[in-house]
Amino acid sequence: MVNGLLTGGLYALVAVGFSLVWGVMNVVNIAHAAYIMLGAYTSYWLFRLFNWDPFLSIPVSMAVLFALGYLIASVVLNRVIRFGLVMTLVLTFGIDLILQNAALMLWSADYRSVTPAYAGQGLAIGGVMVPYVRLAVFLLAVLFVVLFSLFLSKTRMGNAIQATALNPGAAELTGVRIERIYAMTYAIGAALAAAAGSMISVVYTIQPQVGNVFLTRAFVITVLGGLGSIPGALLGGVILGLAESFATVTVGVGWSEAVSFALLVLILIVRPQGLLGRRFFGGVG
Amino acid sequence: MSPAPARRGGVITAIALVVLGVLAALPPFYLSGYWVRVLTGLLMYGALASAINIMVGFAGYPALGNIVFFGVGAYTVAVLMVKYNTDFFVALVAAGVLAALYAMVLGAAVLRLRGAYFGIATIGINHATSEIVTNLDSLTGGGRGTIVPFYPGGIEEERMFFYFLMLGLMVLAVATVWLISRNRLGYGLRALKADQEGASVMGVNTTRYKVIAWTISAGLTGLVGGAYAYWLAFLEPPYVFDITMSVKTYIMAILGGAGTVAGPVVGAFALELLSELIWGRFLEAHMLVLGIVVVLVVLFIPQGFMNLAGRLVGLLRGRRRPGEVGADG
Amino acid sequence: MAERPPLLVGRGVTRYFGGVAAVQDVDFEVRAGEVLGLIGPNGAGKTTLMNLISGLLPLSRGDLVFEGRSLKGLAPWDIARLGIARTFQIVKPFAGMTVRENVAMGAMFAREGHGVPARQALEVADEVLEMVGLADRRHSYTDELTIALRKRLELARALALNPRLLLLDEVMAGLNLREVGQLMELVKSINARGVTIIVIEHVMKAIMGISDRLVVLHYGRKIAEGPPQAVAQDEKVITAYLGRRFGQGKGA
Repeated sequence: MVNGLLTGGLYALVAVGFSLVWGVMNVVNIAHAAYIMLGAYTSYWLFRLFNWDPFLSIPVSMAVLFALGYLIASVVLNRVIRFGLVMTLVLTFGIDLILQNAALMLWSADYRSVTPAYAGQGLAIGGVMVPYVRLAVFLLAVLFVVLFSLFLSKTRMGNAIQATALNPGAAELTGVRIERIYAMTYAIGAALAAAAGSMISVVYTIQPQVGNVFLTRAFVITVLGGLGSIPGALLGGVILGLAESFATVTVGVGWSEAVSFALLVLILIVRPQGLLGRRFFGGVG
Repeated sequence: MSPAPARRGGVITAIALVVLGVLAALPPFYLSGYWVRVLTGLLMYGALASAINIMVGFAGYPALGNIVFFGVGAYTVAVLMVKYNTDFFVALVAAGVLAALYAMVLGAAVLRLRGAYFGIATIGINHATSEIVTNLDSLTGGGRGTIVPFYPGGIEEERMFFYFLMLGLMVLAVATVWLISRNRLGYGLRALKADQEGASVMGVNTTRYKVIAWTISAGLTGLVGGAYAYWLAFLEPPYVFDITMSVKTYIMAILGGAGTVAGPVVGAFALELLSELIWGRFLEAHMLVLGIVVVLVVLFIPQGFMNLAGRLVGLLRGRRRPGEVGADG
Repeated sequence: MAERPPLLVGRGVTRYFGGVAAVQDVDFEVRAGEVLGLIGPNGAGKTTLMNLISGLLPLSRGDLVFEGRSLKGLAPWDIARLGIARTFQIVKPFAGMTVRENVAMGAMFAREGHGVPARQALEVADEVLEMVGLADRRHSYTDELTIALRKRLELARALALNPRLLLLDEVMAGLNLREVGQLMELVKSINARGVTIIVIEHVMKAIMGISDRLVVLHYGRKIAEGPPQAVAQDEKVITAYLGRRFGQGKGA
C-alpha cells in the first residue's frame, strides 16, 4: 500500500505533462511515451558513461527533451493541429513509432537499469522496507508537480499558456503568438516526461518500449482526475497507484491493467470530466 | 441525368468488374508462393480497411481500437476448432457473429463518446479484451498461445484456399460498403458524421445507426480475424489484438480516402505493398518507416488519395470540389 | 375565417436550466394551415420552445400534443418522423454531402408513408430544389454556398421531409432586403400548400407580413397572443420591446 502511494506520486508527474498538452493544445500526445523513454535513456547513458547520479541528470534529460519537443511541435505538430484531435493523435502515434523504433535499433531491446550505490538501501516504514530511491522519487515528483503548478499561475509564460487553453482566440488578441505557446507547451510536456523518465530509470528496468505502459497510466489518470487539473492529476495518480497495488495483491498482476482500463472506460461514460476536472486547463491557483 | 450515359456508365463498370475479377483469380496459379502470400496479406488489409471505413469514413467515429474485433474473431475460430472440433466455416461464421454482438453490446455505451474519447475508449477496450483473453488461458491458451488445426491439404492447395478466402472476404467488405453508401444507412451515417443534431431532427435515429455501423464493421473485421486464425495456425493475444495493426488499417482508410468505397482498398494495397516490398526484411526499420509514412500522410495527404483524386478530377472539369479532411475528432 | 383545428397544443410548457426557467408555463396552440409568428426580445425563450417541440430538449414540466399525440419523451428523430421539421438559426448543413444529397436526406427520412428509398430520394430532392430555386447548385458542396443560399438549403431540406408542421428559426437573419422578400414569398407558397408553420423572426416586417397570428414571449412567459395588428399595439408587448416609457398610455 505504501508502495502504491509512492508510485502514485510518480504516476502523477507522468500524467501532468500529458494532461498539459491535451488540455492546452487539444492534442493527445502518444509520443509522450517516447519522451519518457528518452528521458530514461538519457539518464542511463549519463550514468553508464560518466557515472552521473541519475537524480543529477534530470535537468539534462529535461533540457534535451525540451529541445526535441519544441522542434517537433514547431516543425510538424503546429501544422496539423487545425485538422483536429484525431489527426494529431495519429501524427503523434507516428512520431512515437519513429522514436521508439529508432531507440530499438540503436540500443536494442535489452533491459537496462540505473543502479547507483544507494539503490538497494531503504527505510523501514510500518514494517515495510521502502527503498530510499522510491521515497526520493516520490518527493521529487510531487515537488515537480507543485513547482509546475506555480509556474502556471505565477509566471508570464504560465499565464499565457493558461489563457491559450481557456480561449485561444482571445489570447491571440492580447498579442500572444499561439504557435509559440503551443511549441512551448509541448516542449514543457516533453521535459516533464523526461523528468519522469529519469526517475523511472532508477526505479524500474528500462527498454525502448518502457514508456507505453506509463502512457496508458497517464491516459487513465488524466481522464480520472479531470483534463487540465493538476490536483486531479495528483489525486488520480495516487488513486491509480493504490488501485494497481490493491489489484496486484488480490487478483494478480495480469488483471491489473485490465482493471485500469475498465476504470478508464467507466469514467469516460459516467463522468467524462473526471473527478476534479473543469473544461479547460487551470492550475492550482 | 439522361438514361443513355447512365447505362453506358453501368456497362463500363460491369466490364471493369469482370476484368478485375478475372485478374484477381489468376495470381495463385501463376505467381510464386511468396507473392501469393503477400497478395493474400494485401487482400486481408483491404478487407480490414474497408471495414474500418464504415466507422471512420461514414459515421465519423475514430475506431482506433477496432482490431479488437479481429482478435475476437480469431480467438472464436481458434477456440471452436480446438476445443469443440468445429468445422472451419461454421467457426468462421460464429467469429463474425460474435464480433458483431460484441460491438452491439459495447456500442450502446461507448458510442455516446465522441471523437478522441471514443478513440481512446476503443483502444482501452482492445487492451482490456486482450488481457481477458490472456487470462482465460484454460480456454484460449493465454500467453502461451494456441495452435489452430491446420488446413487439411497440400501447400499449393492451402495457399490457394487462403488467397481466395481473403479475396472473398475483401469483396464482401467492399460490397457491403458499396451497398451502405447507396442506401439510407450510408446517407444517415454521413449526415450524423457532419452534424449529429442536424441529422437527428432530420429523422435519423443516430443512436441506432451508429450501433448498426459498428456492428457491421465489427462483424466484417471478425470474419477476417477468424480467417487469419486459420491461416496463421498459431495465435497469441498480442498478434491479433495488435494496436499498431489497428492504427495501420486506420491510416490505410484515411490514406486511400475515408468515405469512399474504393479508397481504403487502394490505401491498404499501397501501404502494405510498400512495406512488404521494401522494408519487410527488417522488423524494426519497418515500424520506423511506418511511423514516417504516418507522419507524412497526416502532414500532406490528410484527405486521402481518392478524395484528392476526386478533387483533381473536379478541378479538371472546372468544378471546385473540396476534399474531406479525414475523420476529425 | 373559420376556426381551424389545432395541430399542436402546448400546455404549461416549462423548461428549466439549472434554477432558471427559460420557458415558463406557456400555453399555446397552433392551428392547422396557419402561420404562427413567435416573437419576443432576445432571450425570451423562443428558440428554447422550438428545441422543446423538436425534441432536442426534454420538457421540465407540461406537455406538447401534436395531432393528438403527446411529444413528451420522444427522441428528435421520432418527432421528425411524426411530421415536424425544423431549421436552425445557425444553419447546420451536412458538410461532405452535396446540396442534392442534403435535400435527399429529407425525402429518405420523411414521415410514415412518405419516405422513399435513396435513389428515388435524389429525384425528389431535385423537385424540392426547383421549388426553392437551388436547382442550379445541386452538385455544389455546402461550404461553397453563400449564407443566403445555405438558409435556403436548410429550408429545402426541412421541406423534403414533407412535414405537417414546419418550424423556422430566424430563417431571415443575415439576409438583405431583397433576399428577405424572396424568402417571404417562398414561405407563403409553402404555407399555401398546406404546411403549418411556426416562425421565429426578428425582422418585423417579414413576420408581420406572413403571420396569421402572433405569440409573444418575454422572459419565458407568454405575454400576448393574437392577430399581428392587435399584438403590435398591445401595451405589454411594447413595454417588453421598448421599455416602460413607450408602453404607457398605449391602449389596445
